[in-house]
Amino acid sequence: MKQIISIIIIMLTLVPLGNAQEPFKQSLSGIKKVSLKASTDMKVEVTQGNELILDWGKICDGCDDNGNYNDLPYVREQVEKKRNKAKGLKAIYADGVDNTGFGMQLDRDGEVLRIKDLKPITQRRSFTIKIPKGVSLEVDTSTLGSVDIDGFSDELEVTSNVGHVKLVNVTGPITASTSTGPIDVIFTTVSQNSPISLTTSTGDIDVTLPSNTNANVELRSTMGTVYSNFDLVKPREDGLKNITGNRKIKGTLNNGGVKVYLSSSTGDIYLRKQ
Amino acid sequence: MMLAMLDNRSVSKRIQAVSYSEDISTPDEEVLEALIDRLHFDGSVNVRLAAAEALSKYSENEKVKNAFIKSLTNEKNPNIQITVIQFLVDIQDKRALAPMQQLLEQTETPDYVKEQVSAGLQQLI
Repeated sequence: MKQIISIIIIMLTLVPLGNAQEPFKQSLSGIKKVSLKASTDMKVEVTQGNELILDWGKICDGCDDNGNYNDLPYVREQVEKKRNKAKGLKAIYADGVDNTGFGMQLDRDGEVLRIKDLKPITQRRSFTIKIPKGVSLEVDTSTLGSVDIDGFSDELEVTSNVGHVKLVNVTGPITASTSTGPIDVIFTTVSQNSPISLTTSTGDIDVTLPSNTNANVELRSTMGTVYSNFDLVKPREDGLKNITGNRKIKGTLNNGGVKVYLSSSTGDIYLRKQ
Repeated sequence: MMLAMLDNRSVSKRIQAVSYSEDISTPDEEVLEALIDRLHFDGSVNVRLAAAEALSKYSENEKVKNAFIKSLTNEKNPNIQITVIQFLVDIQDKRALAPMQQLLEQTETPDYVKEQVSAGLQQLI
């Protein structure tokens, strides 16, 4: 008995008080797509393992992205106070049930894992999610949040409203749409599997492709300007009237390939060769 | 195969299916209806936009014209609204006048859409 108690005491002292919670982990066996809905700034990274990893994120002023506040005594005190106040109670949310202990709701729907952040941006400024290779991702931040993704080589579907969408070192297939948020994408290579489509209402679209990319590009900005340093070969005039009246620029890169479609109402479009 | 693909869970695959339909020189009614379905009901802006562009080619088809009129009333995405307006102005479909007037009066319509509507109205009348 004494031994057990002393073990418990040792264990308790090993857990630093007020330290950030361990990241949430979820096995993704049998899951082909993760669907993420949140109203905050999201960072997506790729992990080598086969588990999805979710950090608490920036949940207070002075916290870091993992929810750590240890090194700031004042913040720590405030958060401790609040935690003690909520002791024995459970946080409840209007939008769903927190079944992760992270203020997020997780539902499995066949091969799709749906994650919904129940906290508003005022309570969680940002968080990071790590996803194993081979799983496609849908991200929806239709209120205030933004999306930053680095090194993703599976299929991506991104929806944002005013926040930016920044995709770096990606391959596609990618479909993204925003209202005023700008979309920036830097491709390492371009997957020929299925089309890439980026569209905004007023945000700029800025895409960088490797110079040897095979693609059929279609660029359209109704009221903005299209810029590129690719030689976009204009298709031959066949004398037929363009019924849509759209000022659409069509061109092939390196004999053509997968469709790359960039479209905006008032935003400018930048297609860069690298 | 294309029809089944239009229901695919992947947004990119659905856009691919829409693109395939553009390669068919004279698509049958079933294909057009499937595309109209995408224009009206697809959850992805990217797919609805692709469907609008694909359908723009069939300006003689009554079903397609009706579909654009319906979209003009229901669509909330500015980018698609502009595509739809341009199509209806190009084919001089006078039925677009009332819903376009309505867009002008609605406070939630963005200014740049109103600009397109005003320009379109001048060409229609």
